[in-house]
Parts: sequence; C-alpha cells; structure tokens
Amino acid sequence: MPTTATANTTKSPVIAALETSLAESYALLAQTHVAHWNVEGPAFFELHAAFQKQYEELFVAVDDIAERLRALGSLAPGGLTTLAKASSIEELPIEHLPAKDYVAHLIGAHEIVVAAFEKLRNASEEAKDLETQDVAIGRLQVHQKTLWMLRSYLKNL
Amino acid sequence: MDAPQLFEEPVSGPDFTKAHWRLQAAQIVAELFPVVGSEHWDDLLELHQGLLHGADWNKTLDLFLHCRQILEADNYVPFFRLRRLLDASLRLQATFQGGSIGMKSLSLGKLLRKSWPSLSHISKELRRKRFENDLTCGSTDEILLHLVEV
Repeated sequence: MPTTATANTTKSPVIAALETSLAESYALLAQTHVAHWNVEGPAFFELHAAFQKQYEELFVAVDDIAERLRALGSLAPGGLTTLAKASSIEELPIEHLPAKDYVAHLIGAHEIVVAAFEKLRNASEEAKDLETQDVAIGRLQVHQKTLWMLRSYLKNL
Repeated sequence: MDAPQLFEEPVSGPDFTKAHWRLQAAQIVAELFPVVGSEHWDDLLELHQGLLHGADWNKTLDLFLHCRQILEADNYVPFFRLRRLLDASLRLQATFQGGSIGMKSLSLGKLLRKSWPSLSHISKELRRKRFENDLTCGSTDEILLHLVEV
C-alpha cells in the first residue's frame, strides 16, 4: 500500500521568533536610515551622525540574525516586501518633521524590536538553544542601550 | 458581586476599531498620572474620559492641546503617540462662511506638528491665511472647525 509521507511544516517557536526578530530589525534599520537622511533642525549634525552609527550597527546585526536562521537549517526570509509584511513597525511619513519626532518614532521602533528579542530569548531558553539565546541577549543589550540614549536626548533639562 | 461595566468593549467590526484606538489613547494618558504633578491630574482625567467616551471631539482636542502645552516638554513620547492616534482616527473639517463657501478636510497630523494652545487658535490662523489669499473673503468671515471620528 503506498504511503504518503508528509513533511513536518510546523515552524519551531525559535525559528518563528528569529524570523520576526529579523523582520523587525530590518524595518528598524530602514526607518533609522530614513531618519538619518531627512532629519532637520539645530540638532541635525549630532542626530544625522548618531542615526548613521545606529543603522550601520543594524546592518551587521541583520546579517548575523539571518545567518543564525541558516545555521538552524531554515531559509532566511528577505526582500523589502516580504520583510515589511512581517514587521509591525510603522513607517515615517516622508515630510518635514521636527527632529524630536524622528527620535520619538525610533524609540517606538526599538521597543518593538526589544519585544521581539525578548520573545526569542524566552523561546530559546524553553528549547534549550543557548546559542540562539545568546544572540537574543546580545541584541537586547544593544537596543536597551540605544533606547537609553534616545530617551536621554528627549529629556527636558 | 462584580462592579458594573461602565464601558462595553466590542470585539470586532468598525466599533471595535473605534473602541481600540480610544482605549490605546486613554491608556497613554493613564500612564502620565504617576509621572506628572498632582496639579495636572484634573486636566488629564478630563482628557482620559474625553478620549474614552468620544462624546465631543472638539472639546477633547482642546483638552489635548492644553495638556500638551504644559506637559509635552517633559513627556515627549506619550504626546507623540497621542498625536499619531488622533491623526489616524479623527478628521478635521473646516467650514468656510462668507466668500467661497465650502467645506474642506484638513490634515490633523500636519497641524499638530506645531503646538497650538487651542482649537480657536487654529481657526484664527486658518482665517488669517484665507483672508490673505482669497479676495472674496471678508476679514470677519468665520471658519468653523469640526472633528469627526473616522
């Protein structure tokens, strides 16, 4: 009697969380790049430079996350449309905005990325995948530090 | 005995979308209470209730503008989030009286990039701009602003 073998297409929680983290990180990279291009005002030079540093760091990071997916045997999702669909980060309007609006927008985006990596950290711990957990913890440290810096900028002193 | 439910939350449909953004906005205001002085709580409470119940959007926007003037400097992110929610959920309609009579929708998001003291200040500025650009418009012609939920 012929048998039909069906492949197990259920994604593991770790893979799903890695994919979400990749999509959110990629969206944050793109939003940081837009902020770098379009920020205006008295704080232009410092913000333009700060945003550049942030998106350059993110560009390396998304590569590491995608390659972690490959190391776990899963294909890495990619392409602007695919990753945009998978991200919940809102896009900046392409208009003249106050500089503080760019900072506030990126704070919201970083918070979404933090939530994604927290989920990845927890899923990795459940699955006893300490290496992926290490990736998540490393990213959380970077985003928490960036959030501290962005929030400090908005302090009214 | 359970406390009576004061606000029935729909679970789907257009009413759900409306209730959802109002709850989000009210939550943002609620998070301000622990971080601002108690002298601002009355204003915040009125704003909270205005957002939650949506009875008079003109009054609610005036409350938002008032709270923003006082509190935004130390609380930029919450007011930025509120602006986004208001822009996505409300439409500002301007009705012109006198001159070329008509009604026009204005971009609330663009207007709120500037910190206005009140809705009447916005109306005065629009009247001034219209008077300067429309030869048929008299200096006393009114512009009535009306906010509607989308």
